[in-house]
Amino acid sequence: MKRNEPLINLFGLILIILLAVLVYLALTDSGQGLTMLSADLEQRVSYSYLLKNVTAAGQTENQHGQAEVILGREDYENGAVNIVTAIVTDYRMLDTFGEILVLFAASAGVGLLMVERKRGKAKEASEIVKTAVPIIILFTLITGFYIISHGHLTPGGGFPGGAVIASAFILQFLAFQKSSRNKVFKILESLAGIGLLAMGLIGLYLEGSLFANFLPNGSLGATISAAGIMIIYALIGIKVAAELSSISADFIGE
Amino acid sequence: METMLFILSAFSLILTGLFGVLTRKNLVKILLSLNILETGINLLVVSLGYFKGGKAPILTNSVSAAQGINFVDPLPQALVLTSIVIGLSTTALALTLILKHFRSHQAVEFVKLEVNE
Repeated sequence: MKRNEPLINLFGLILIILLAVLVYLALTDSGQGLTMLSADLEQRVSYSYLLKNVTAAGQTENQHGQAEVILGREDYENGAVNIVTAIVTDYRMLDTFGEILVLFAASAGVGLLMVERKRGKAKEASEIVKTAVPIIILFTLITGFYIISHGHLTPGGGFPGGAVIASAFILQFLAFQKSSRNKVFKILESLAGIGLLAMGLIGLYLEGSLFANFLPNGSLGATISAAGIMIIYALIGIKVAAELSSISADFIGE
Repeated sequence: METMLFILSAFSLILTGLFGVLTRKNLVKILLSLNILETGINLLVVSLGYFKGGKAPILTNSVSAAQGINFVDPLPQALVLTSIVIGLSTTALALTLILKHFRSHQAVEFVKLEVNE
């Protein structure tokens, strides 16, 4: 086995160099004159995401008939100023729902495979840690809720905010050794999942397509606006926080 | 030019990860290589949406097609957001499987299956 080691390395090296050349050729030369790198923003799908005119209903035009987006107005497809949020929670919400399902499957798999064992006495955390952790947890939770509730305005949203909130629970597990499989996490996770599916089905019933935006948008750019996106991101935040906390609880309990 | 630089660094990450996956035997090292590969792919996808001088795709004032829009492509960023979360969950699941393997075989490497007769 040991004898073949350099040979295997050499073979791997040759293989990946061949692959690199292949992918480089594919990226720079498509044979049609238009390569992946030369496409302008106007030629891409994202152009209509940025102008919020994917469906004709949401289009607003200036006097010359060109599409435009004005802050403060209400009649757009969605109320998100942050276009990445608009794509994740509105235009491509089905993708995000699939991602949530993958996260759920992983969390369930970790819970299933981690067989509970009798573990030895863990070393207790020091007094400094025990005193400092509640204060740090408070600020971590505030940051997490801020990130989730401003997902439609600033970078961030349900996934990073949920991860920040989960880190608060991880800190708590580490400091106080309470690694019990918390039923509350599972219940919250299920409720958030059902809520997301319900949002999708209500959109299907009212607007005719799954996860369609059916709530009022508010004025574009205001702190309290885009009700649909705020609700969806709050549910995603709860679900991600609960799932990551239960995964890390499983790992710490091991 | 900048895009080419991003793509080159993304490819160096991808190929490093692929090399690790192809040649290592330790399961934890294979998982680490997969994570490096994934980071490289995320960087590649984001860099394909980069335009020179483009701003982050957040509307801070009114935008119209007439004036020309100076943002980077937001679609790859949204896809990478999805990809990062999926990478996290698969890493957690893979670590659990490696732990399970370690419990039953006392090794974090590939071992020959012993057939009980």
